[in-house]
Amino acid sequence: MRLKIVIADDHPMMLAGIARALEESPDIEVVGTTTSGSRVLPLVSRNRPDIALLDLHMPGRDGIECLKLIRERHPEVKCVMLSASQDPDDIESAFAAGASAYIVKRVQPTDIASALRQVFEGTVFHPMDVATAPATDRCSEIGLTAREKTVLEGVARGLSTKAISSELWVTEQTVKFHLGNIYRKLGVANRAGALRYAFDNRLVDVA
Amino acid sequence: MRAATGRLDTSAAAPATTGGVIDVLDECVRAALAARPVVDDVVARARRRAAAAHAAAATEPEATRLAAAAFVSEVFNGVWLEVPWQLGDATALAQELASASGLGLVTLGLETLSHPGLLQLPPEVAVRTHLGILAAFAPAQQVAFWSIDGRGRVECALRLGGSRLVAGGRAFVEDVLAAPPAVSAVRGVLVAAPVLRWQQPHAVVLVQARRGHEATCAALVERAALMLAPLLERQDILVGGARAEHVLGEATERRLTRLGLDLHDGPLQTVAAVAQEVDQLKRRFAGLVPDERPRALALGWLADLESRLEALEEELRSYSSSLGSPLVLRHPLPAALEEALERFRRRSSMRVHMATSGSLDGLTQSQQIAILRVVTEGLANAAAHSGAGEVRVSVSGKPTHIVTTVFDDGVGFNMERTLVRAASAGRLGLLGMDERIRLLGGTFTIRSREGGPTELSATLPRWEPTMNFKNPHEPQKF
Repeated sequence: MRLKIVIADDHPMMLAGIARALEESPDIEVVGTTTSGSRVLPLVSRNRPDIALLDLHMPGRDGIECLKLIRERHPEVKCVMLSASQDPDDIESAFAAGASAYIVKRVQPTDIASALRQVFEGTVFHPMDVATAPATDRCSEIGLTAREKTVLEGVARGLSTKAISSELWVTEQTVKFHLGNIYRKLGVANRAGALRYAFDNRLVDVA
Repeated sequence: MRAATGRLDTSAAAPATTGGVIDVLDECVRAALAARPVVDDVVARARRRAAAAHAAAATEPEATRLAAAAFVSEVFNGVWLEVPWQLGDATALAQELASASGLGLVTLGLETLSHPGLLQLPPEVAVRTHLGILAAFAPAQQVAFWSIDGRGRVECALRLGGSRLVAGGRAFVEDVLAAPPAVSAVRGVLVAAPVLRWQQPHAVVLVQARRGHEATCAALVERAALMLAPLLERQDILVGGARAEHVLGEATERRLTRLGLDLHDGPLQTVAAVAQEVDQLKRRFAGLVPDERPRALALGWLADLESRLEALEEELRSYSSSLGSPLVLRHPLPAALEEALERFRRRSSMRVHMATSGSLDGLTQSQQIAILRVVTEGLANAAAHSGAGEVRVSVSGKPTHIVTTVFDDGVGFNMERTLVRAASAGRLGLLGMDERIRLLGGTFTIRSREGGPTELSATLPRWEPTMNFKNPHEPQKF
């Protein structure tokens, strides 16, 4: 049985992107979408989804109002809030109104499908974060992306910025961009500091 | 205040020396005002003015008159704000000095009302002082200042003497405003003179003269009105300037808040949506590009793109949060402050105390947002950098300004180095705070040093600098 989802988001590009991402999951079916808050309740009444995924700020009727109406008229439908806002006030308001989850729209891809499954199953769900893949190595624990780890490994091998850029087929500027992020995340000031940290903490293999 | 005993013998025709006249007046003043350090300073100054006036005159009688008038004028204006006058005391002293100098109340009153020092006082204080001096020298039962408020209504802003407004006063004032006389107008025992600004009446000085003294009062009322005109003009300029600044500040604040919200609703979401597309592209590449090396390269480029988007997102969030503060738009300031502190307590192990005092009413939305931002920014800095055990927040509403301070007992920081680094990294935080407060006409200071503690302090003026007289229907002390 597929999980039926209604999505409401006034940002068309975001709405299309979320719908597409969810449709790639074989166990999820998007049964309705709308960019207007005033269309949410009729959509839910007609399509009887398992979960309503609601943007917080929408014209016509905002996400919290929609949430309250759905809870009142269709209490069997679970509501998940979606927003670019990380304002704790907004998050607490959503949970106070009865939201089952709150997902922040971030650049880092959120596994919305997993989040929705957990909401439907009623498993414990951290209110601030969506479950992401657990850190598999020290680099991930520190917050380095796979790309940053690749650049750091290049530094550990003694490659210059130019050499790393050639190896990855990117510009030197892109390598410097990643190095800046690496220094910031490791709390070091320069390449030497990053190397020392990387070896001390076994972030890279010592060949 | 004790009555004076000295008198100048005016029965003889021979002119007295300046020293003699001034000595007598000096004695009257000291007897009336008792021993006060300010009296010594003022009398010394008055003597110098008298000497200068005496030296400037052509004849001895003129010199004596000018010296005495200058002395009395200087004394009254010098001590007026320092002495807790009662109406009767000021009147008694004026009469005593008039008698002692032989000059009469009108001469002394005109000279005293014309003192240039009155023009340097703040407008409200100047009006009170003028009316007080007028009441002291004019043979009147009541003096009053009538003005036109912002809505065009004629109101008695200040009244001295009498237990109630004189009958017929309002009607007379309205007639004078409608058809201002050249100098003054008399109706029965009422004498009125318009205060003109660019030839248009903006206020009226009204006196209820003692019967038979209307002409004396007219001379004094005209002088008082003449001296008040530039004061009211200065007040209008100050208010107009402050209002324009305030309107500009409010408009700018609204635009900044709107921009902050628009960043949230627009570009931030677009960036997140683009990142979603990139993420989906990455998944498809895995299937579309079978060869490992080209696939790894392409996925690497897409990862670079994601990193750029993430950095852009952080930057947009930083701008958005520093520009607007939705909290205060939903709650009054005291409630918003409490909420901010409560949220901080839930997320931090620091002890946080807040003390508010005075009135926080009547603040504009911009001012409320600015105060809230000072507090939240101070808390955020304490949490992120200070290692503090305790944070104390204080918001104090005084009659003319609001003072907000955030104090933490943490490790402090090197101010110059930290602020320069923040500026070059584009982190708005404290720097944005300074701009915001200055935009509202206030001052923002940070006191910190390595080892701590740290204190942020913002002072915001209440922007309405209007004249605010006390209830005109209460019996007035000077």
